[in-house]
Amino acid sequence: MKTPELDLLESADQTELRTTVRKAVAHRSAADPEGGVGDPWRFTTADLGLAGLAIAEELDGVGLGVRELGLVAEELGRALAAPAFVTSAVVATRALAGCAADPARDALRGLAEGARTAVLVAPGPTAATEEYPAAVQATGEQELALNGVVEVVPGAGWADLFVVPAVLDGRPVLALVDGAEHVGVEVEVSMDQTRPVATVTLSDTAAVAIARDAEAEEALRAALDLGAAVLCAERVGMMEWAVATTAEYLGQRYQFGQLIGSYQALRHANARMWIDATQARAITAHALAAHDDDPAELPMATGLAAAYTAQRAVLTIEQAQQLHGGIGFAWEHPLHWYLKRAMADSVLFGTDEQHRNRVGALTDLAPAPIRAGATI
Amino acid sequence: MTDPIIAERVNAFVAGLGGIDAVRELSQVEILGARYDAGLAWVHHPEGLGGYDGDQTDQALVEAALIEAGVPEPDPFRNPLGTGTIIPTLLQHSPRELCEQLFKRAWTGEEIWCQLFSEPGAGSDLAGLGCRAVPETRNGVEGWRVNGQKVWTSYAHRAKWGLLLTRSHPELPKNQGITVFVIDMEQDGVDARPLRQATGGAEFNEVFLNDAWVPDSQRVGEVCDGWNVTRTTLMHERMAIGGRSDGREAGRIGVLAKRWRENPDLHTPAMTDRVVGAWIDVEVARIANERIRQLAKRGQPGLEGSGAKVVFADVNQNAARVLARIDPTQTLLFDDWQDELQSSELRCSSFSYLRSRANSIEGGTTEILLSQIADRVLKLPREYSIARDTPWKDIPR
Ligand SMILES: Cc1cc2nc3c(=O)[nH]c(=O)nc-3n(C[C@H](O)[C@H](O)[C@H](O)COP(=O)(O)OP(=O)(O)OC[C@H]3O[C@@H](n4cnc5c(N)ncnc54)[C@H](O)[C@@H]3O)c2cc1C
Repeated sequence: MKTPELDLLESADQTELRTTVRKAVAHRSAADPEGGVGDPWRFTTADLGLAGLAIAEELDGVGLGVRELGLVAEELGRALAAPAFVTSAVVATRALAGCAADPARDALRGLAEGARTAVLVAPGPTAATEEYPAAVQATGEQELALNGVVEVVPGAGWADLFVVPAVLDGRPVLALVDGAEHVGVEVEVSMDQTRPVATVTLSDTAAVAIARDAEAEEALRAALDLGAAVLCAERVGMMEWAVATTAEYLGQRYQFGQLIGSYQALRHANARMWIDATQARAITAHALAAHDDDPAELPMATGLAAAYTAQRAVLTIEQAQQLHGGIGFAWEHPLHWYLKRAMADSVLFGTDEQHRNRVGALTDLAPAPIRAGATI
Repeated sequence: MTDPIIAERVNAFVAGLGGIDAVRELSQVEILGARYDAGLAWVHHPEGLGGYDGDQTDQALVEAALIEAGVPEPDPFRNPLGTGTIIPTLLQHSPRELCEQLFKRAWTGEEIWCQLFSEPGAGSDLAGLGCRAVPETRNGVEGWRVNGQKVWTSYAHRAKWGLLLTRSHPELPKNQGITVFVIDMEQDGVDARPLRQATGGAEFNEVFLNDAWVPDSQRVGEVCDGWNVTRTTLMHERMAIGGRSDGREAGRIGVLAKRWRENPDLHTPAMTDRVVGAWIDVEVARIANERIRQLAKRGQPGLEGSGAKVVFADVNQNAARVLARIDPTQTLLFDDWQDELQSSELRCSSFSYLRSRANSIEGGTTEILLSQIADRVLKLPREYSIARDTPWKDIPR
């Protein structure tokens, strides 16, 4: 099979961006490892300008490519910082960017200023391959009224701008709700407390239509696929954190009169974690590069990276916990935050099984996803 | 997209042989010999040694241009260890005259090479090897007399030359007393006896060296610098096994995917999941290899090659296992318990399965590679071992 050759390495500029983000985040997360749970921009400050990175320059943003968004997400993942970056600055922002209407562009300008936080009102596990969500019904013309309940929406508790996929006369529409006061948001007790999910209730909520039909479908699909790819990068950062933290612990803990890092079973387990993180880095670079440079490869690249990293991130962090013994199970150690994030991430923007099915369908090895109307 | 300069080189090469129709009349050895003379063998080699000082990345472009010009493709397995690991080692560590003497026939496959490394007492602990070399002048030529035994030596029974690791200085610590030679396998003192493998055939051998002799001019690297030379070979071996970067669905996974698509009656949900899982793992490994290739091109190769070899063994073994089970009838059958020479792509799925089991043993076991990563990447505390400065002769064995 012919396969594209994508640049999988980092440029000097990209390394500089990575270093900047890592430095900014590391100081604050080290100073207060338990702090800021529930804060959308945890361990970061506004001057990092995270909110505007994905927004086009003509809309007052920075207009970064997808590779760059990925490496920012990776550094944030390493410290579990700024959980709203993915939900607001990447996914909701990408959904808005897919809509040509003025209210969408105004919303992007507002986001670029950094004063607001957006969310895509879809259940966390929604995948780009699925049928357009029908949980919210819209009525009206340009000014819409929305009705419906959407469960387990990540990042909704922080939002004051809601991008809502809805159905109007049986046809897809993307609607924009401006202001949290119009929306019922109930933050749930969540597996990942650093990025909690919420139930969003809309009752005759006033909204404007920002895209319809194919434009709405395409904007949603692009946002979910971008989210899936950038989330892979977040996992790479978490996996590398787990590899390094484990190596450090194995190099300082004594049992039976020896550093436990000299026991081969543990050395090999840690080496396997490193190998998986290396593979995850490569397959993620491939997915990010496809988003930038090769739209034809994008579905396959995203499916592969999501399927691989979702599973391996969970296993890697589980292993890190095992190799830490009792302290790894203690609330005071940061490991459990990573474990919960990895588990929650493994279903966001499509479960790893969904992404596996997608690869199976794209390669013609497995039947296409069962849901009616689904695209690969 | 063909690079114009490379296309021009290739066109000039074809024209020099009298055009493509004339080329098609030639034997594989003749075509390969002409490629070597024209610098189109290993393009990154210096002129006169099969290359034109080209960029390493030109190789793939040249191969593609040759195919496009209609030049028949060579068998990549004509001399696997010669072209894959030994020539790169010699290029780096031996004098030009020796390279000139040996490279062309290694490239054409007229002379097969083998790698005389493992011994009955030295496998994973390769640096513990004991095959003795002592200086001896024969017929007025300075050289070395060699005595010892090697084992698991692939292709030794068909080889003209061997890259031989010897213990020249037993009084030094194990890594410091090794010297490497190119040995002529077709001499009285060398006896290669094929060993039958689990697959039924015999591609590897035990090799007895009984007062064999090598001239000092065939020494590779300095006396006692053999471990350094060996590391070059092992690195190339890992890259050759693990770091290949073919296209999507190249190799065994392609066979698996094709057979799966052609036999919908075999599809069950559980098996579908295994097939897709195997495909994904192989594809991820392939793309990770592509990244390693890009790193190497930038001059930043790390221990990713060792990781790649571990992953290659895992995913290839899994693909072979799935392939051997998708058709339960075939799981019960085998094609031929004698013959091993035809390429494994033409063999039955049970053969592929059995052969894949060696992937995690040959070229450094998975365990040894994991230990290497633990030491050198993760910098974990070392495992217990005897003192590094113990003379080789005093190590218990
Ligand atoms: C098909 C095939 C082709 C080969 N071709 C060649 C060839 O052409 N030339 C050549 O020189 N050799 C060749 N070999 C030999 C191969 O390199 C060795 O088999 C390999 O290095 C392992 O050595 P060993 O067989 O002595 O096993 P051992 O070293 O005895 O290992 C036995 C087991 O113990 C494990 N082990 C050993 N030491 C450690 C340790 N410190 N920590 C953890 N685990 C350990 C190993 O991983 C293995 O699982 C070939 C082997 C095969 C299977």
